[in-house]
Amino acid sequence: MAQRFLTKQELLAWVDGLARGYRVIGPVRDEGGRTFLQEIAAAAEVDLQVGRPVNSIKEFLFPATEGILHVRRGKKAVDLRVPDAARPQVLFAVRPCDAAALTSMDALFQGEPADLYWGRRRQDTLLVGLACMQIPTPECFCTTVGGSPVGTTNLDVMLYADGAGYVAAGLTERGAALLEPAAGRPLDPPFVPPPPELAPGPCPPAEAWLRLFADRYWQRLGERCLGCKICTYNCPTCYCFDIRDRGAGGEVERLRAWDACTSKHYSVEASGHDPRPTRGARLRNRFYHKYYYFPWRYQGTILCSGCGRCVAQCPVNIDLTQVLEDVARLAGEQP
Amino acid sequence: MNLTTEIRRIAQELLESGKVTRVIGYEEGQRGAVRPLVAATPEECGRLVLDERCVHNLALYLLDFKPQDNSPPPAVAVVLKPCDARALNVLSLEHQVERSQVYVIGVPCDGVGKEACVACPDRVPPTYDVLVGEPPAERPAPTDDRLARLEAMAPAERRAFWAAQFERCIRCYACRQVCPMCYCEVCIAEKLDPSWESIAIAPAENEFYHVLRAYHLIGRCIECGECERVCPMGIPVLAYNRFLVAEAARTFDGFRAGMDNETLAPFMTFHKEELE
Amino acid sequence: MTNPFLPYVGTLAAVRDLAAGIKLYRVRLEDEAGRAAFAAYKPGQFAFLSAFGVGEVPFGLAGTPARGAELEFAVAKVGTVTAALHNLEEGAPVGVRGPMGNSFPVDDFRGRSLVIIGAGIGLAPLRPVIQHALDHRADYGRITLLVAARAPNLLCFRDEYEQWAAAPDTEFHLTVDAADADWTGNVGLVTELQARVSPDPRNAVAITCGPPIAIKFITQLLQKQSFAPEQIYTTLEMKMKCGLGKCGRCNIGERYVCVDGPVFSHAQILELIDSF
Repeated sequence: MAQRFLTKQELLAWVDGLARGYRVIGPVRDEGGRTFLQEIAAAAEVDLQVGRPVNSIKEFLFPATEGILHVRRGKKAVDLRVPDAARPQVLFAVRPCDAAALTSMDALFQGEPADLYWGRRRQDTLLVGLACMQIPTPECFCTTVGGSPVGTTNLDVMLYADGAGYVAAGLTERGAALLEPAAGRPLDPPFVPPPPELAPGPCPPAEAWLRLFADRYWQRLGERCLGCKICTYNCPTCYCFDIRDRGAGGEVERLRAWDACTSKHYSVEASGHDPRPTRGARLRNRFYHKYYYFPWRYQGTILCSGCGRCVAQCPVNIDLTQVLEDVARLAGEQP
Repeated sequence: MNLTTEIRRIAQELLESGKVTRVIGYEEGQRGAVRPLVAATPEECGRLVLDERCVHNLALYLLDFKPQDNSPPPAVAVVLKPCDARALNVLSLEHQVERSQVYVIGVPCDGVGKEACVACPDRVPPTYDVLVGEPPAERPAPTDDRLARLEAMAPAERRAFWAAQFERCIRCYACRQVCPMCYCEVCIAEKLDPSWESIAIAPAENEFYHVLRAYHLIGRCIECGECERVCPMGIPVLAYNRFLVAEAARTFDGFRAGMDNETLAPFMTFHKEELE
Repeated sequence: MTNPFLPYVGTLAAVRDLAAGIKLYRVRLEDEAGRAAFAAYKPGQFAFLSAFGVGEVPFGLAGTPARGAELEFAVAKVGTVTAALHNLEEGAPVGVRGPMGNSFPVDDFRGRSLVIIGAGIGLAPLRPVIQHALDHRADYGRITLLVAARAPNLLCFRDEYEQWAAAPDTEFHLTVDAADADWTGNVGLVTELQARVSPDPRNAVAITCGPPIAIKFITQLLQKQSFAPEQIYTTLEMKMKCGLGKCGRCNIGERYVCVDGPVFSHAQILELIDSF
């Protein structure tokens, strides 16, 4: 598809145009120096510097809390209604790892039976990516899981920072249409980004995980785990959720909200029985879900895009890249 | 004295002699960070380190050694900075940890770069079994400007400030999980029977959680600042805890939690004279 | 597009006490789509019952379509949703989602003897198998029923035992862990009864359900009694939320109890990477 070159001004003007018709989400840096993806009103708010926002695009397709059902109830009857769809949105300056994460999320939510709430948000969302012309952070490891810093998977438009401006490539029909109103000059021959070097680490195969399940490694790792939800909540591919109602009277909302298998009460049954009673068992479940259980069910798709958030944000330095190395090494050492 | 060498020597001796079954300390982690280590063997003690990167409050991990039945807890050693040792005192006072079963490797501290360190007057742990390193020179603690700004706000302004902060909260509960004083079996924010708040991750529910936690910490918070350090969203969690610490100090004659393990905390103590 | 999170509306047609703390609910589906969905559910499948305002919980379908269009559920009051359900009166609206899960391969069981061991409320998901077998008596060989509970007041479906025992080529055995003043039957653990009854494994299938610990011991004994893992079936339980394989909660290793189960053969259980 055709490319064009936009100056920074032209890019910002285009984004302002988008904001008139769509809800636009982009990276914004706060006074504390942290970058968050959030709704923007004007392009000037966006931080286009290389970096990785604290949160991922997940919450804009799979909100932290969502009303999935509205119940109006009387003594003898109930009226059930599904809440209306949200506004169409453009996710702007999406990192390739966040976009790649949608592959596994789509496999989950679009698989039978398809999830209506994900489906309609997904349909109503356009993704404008911003390629990583340099590796944004020391924790990045997208290449370890088969991704690329300049990968275009799941994007409608890709932007490449190039000197004083940006190369904009429409990747899909909808992306090309979105790009239509932008100024800038056509680029011919097209720009080909030199991908920055990011040596992939080991990504152990299923047999390695299988071999290590009973290993003491997981209990030892669990000793320092806090049992918080940082890694799961800011992860672009963690999706476990809870369902519970809110509202006591005639108007009840059934909510779906994020939850985390790392938390203490996640699997506790009404009888009090807990099949994963230790932090080590719960931590192991999370890693296995991402690297063994999900690929088993979804044609080898790993539930991780190598964004590095969990590595950067874990308060006790539990490092997924180290876990992958350890699994590869320990499995090799097993008889 | 090389602190790391000394810590390793002490830890190894403690495990070799069988005086303790574990030594909780810090080890070299990934990417230049340190991380908690629960050393189980003298060999593992060879991984222990001690320097200004050692920010974690290791008193937290003492709660993992609380027996589920009435059996006596195992003896463990733990490396504690002044604020961390205050946490131990509170846990001991509240019967969560048996002080006699903990061997404290105390560490004098001149700050480890956390927000909490800015206004901290404590240099030496209030309780220890051995002190590793020289206490730093006394200096007056700087004032907590952030606290002063908060206290100067009119209530409506302060309300708006916190509302904006809690909007960012994702209820990862890291602030609660890292806090040694938050050891409830089921947190009120997650309790189902009765249910105090819904599962929604939303401003109203976030505010409920933080305000409840703040109130549950009055007279108990030892200001280690781990809560703020771990927050991925940059919420100044320590600030509201400090606010209430100051309030408690004003109301209860300068009370500071955890300075010993005998003085009962104001909110947990009832004196008949108070009725009069 | 159908929305699998949208419950069918049903009415609580009848509620009766089944055992101490356990009620039997009969639910009448009120719309055509619901009735169509549940026209042919199979033994072992489950459905979610909604107590609107609190939430949803999965229950094994305790009956068969052949015996009536109304759905039967045995509901023990153990948590907030079941407590809310226990507060409902006949005529109250409820939500139903399902039928979900796999089922006991009753067609594969044809021509074989059935040994059915139900402990406590675990008898409820086995009742459809019993009903199906009795309704197709000629398709199955000898039927051996072992019913157990911790106490007489925890025995479920007591009013049906006589009918079951009276079926052709069917033996019925009953035991309680501890008797009450009126009990005149067997006293002892289900495994003690199972050892005495010594069911014949030849061309037989054993089906069991109960608390995890009971399943473990019953299955161990069945294997000692020469039942091969492929001959033993059970229905497992894990905390569940969506029932659709989406929310990630009910996994035992890579298997979801909601879509890969809840019925598993012991051979499959032996292959599970994790325990329940």
